[in-house]
Amino acid sequence: MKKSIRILIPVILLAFFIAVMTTGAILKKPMGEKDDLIHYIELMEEEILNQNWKEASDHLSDAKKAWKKVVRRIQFSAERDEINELHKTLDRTSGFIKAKDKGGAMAELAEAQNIWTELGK
Amino acid sequence: MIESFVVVVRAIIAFFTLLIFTRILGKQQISQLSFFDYITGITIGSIAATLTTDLTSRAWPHWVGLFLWTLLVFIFQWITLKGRNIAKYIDGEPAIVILKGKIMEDTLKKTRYRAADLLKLLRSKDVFEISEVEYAVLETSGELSILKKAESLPLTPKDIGLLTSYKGISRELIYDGKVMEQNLNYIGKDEKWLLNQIRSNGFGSFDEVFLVLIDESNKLFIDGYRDSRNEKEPKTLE
Repeated sequence: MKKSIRILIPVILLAFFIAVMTTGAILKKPMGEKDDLIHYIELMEEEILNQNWKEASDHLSDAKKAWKKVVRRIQFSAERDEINELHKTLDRTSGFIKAKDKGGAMAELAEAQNIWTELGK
Repeated sequence: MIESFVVVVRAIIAFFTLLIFTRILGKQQISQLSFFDYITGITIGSIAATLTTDLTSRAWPHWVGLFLWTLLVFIFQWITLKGRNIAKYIDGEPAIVILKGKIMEDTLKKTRYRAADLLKLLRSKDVFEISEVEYAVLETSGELSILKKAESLPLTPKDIGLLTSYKGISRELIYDGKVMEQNLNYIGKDEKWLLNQIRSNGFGSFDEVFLVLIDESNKLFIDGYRDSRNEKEPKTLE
């Protein structure tokens, strides 16, 4: 095998590995129409503040679907605890919306935004 | 998210990273490793294991740790290759623990070896009497190198003036049923010649032969897959 190929193979492999491990912050950004989690969270906040619980619930459902798509992309570069935590905050928000608890729902969404900011960094 | 799938990807990353890094670090054999090298190896392996299975933290910091440990080992290797004095300072020096049949107790203490450890190492070198030993040197790897007294050394052909024929290194002509063309060309023979040789030893084709070696005195060693076959003794070429 040529020396250049012998060197190139490990270099390409290492570069690929580094890319897989460090691109979480890039891959979490929306890539399609229905995977913009942070947009859905902002919409939810608006509806909750206006106490439009039905709309807020619809946006939450969209947010959960978007989150599922994002997780597939960032699972190799993000902490599992952060992923689980964001999942839990969305679940808790669901409960607060059902109970029509504005304060609780807003607190959970603020927490979700905070986790999102740190995700994959 | 399927956890096991993440582990699979991380394991692939850790495995090939370790493979590449250890290739960069060179071919030091385990027996040549100093105690520090040994510990370093364990640490690097441990970081790779954590990278694979610790999903509570990102893979990247573990990979950086793996890279840094490898880099530091590489730097130390480079430094010790360049400077003999630094190498002595970092790796330590071999210590003479037996001199002309006498144990050097002070050296033994400094190296944290007990007499029982020394006796064990001597036994592993087939030495059961300390008085037989001229020198015993404790290497930096923890191995014991021994020079026996002249009267305790085994007799060699040279001692009795016996002439021996040159042996040299054997070359593989067939390995696992496959003909090694390069070695065959090196000795100036072809497959037809090789086939004749194995046929004269009772084999029908190359596939039936596990290993064929030829030494520098052109002596063939042929081993077939079926051990029950009545193989002839290795044959010497004309």
